[in-house]
Amino acid sequence: MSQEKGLDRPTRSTKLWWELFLSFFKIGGFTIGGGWVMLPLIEREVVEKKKWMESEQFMDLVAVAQSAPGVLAVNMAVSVGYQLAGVMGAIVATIGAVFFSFLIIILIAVFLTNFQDNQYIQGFFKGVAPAVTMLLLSAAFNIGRKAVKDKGGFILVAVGLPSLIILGIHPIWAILVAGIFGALYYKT
Amino acid sequence: MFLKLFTTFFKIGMFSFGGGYAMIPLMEKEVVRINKWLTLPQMVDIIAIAEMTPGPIAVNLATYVGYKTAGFLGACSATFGVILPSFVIVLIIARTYSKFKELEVFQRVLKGIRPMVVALVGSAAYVVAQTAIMDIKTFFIALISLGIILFTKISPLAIIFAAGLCGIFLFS
Repeated sequence: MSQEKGLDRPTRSTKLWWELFLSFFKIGGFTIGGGWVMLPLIEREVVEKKKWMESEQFMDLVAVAQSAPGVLAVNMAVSVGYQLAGVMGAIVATIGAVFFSFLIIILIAVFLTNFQDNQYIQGFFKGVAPAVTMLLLSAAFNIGRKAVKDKGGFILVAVGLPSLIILGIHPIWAILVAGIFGALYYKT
Repeated sequence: MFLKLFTTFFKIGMFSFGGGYAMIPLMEKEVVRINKWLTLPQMVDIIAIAEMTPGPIAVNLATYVGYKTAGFLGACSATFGVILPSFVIVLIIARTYSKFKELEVFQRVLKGIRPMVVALVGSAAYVVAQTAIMDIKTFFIALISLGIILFTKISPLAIIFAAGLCGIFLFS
């Protein structure tokens, strides 16, 4: 129903809102590892299963989601939801994407309080911490392979890393300075 | 308190480019150092929990920190705060995308921000390492994890879970 008219002029229908909510609820509730893991699942749901849009249009929406700051999964939900069903579509898709993880985390937070002094749980987290460190390190390398492509990017990392670690500058300043640097450095 | 949680996580959502991992240094600064809502080891626990549970990592982190700091309403404030900037900004971009795409200065700004995200995540790894890797046992868990991450395609979830089991075995 939405294929032929939904793309430039968002449609407004309760059924579509409900479907959007369920799709993003499913994706948000059953993927572990954050936005990057969700991306292919969203594509399968939105492009292949529901046929809400063409693949090229989906890539455009991914670009919108990636160029904005914030939670990638939410960015995707807003951009797909808005395209299909306007502001209300964006709202229901967002609620769908975060609903399940919100509930689970609340349950864990309540549950873990009672077990915080348990030596096995303490041992578990003591073992987990070094693995998390290495996952962060590898995430930095993975992002780096895609993000650092030239001398400018290399300079930013080489100056940014010690400024953050040794001087302890606030990350917001690092981002603002990097943005201004980009605007000036990449001027053709 | 709720307002403080909301504004802090609004700031975190607003200035995070590149997903959940990129938010960690900003969150560490705001939650651990400036507001002192959690200690660094608690923060590392939360990162692990966020990694192991479904859903967007940033939302998991916000919900958990909010709940630990100020209960259920705290969780709502923090989660709403971290989502709101995404929501508003993406909506604006989606409405004006064709014009936005041509805005060349915006592309250049992003080109500068992306490498800085690498430095941010790298600094997060450094900060977390200071509490996570303290002795020979934790050093070995780190080394083995790194080997598995580099040379296999085993999912982060499985790696974290296995490391946790080693932890129970080694430290309990």
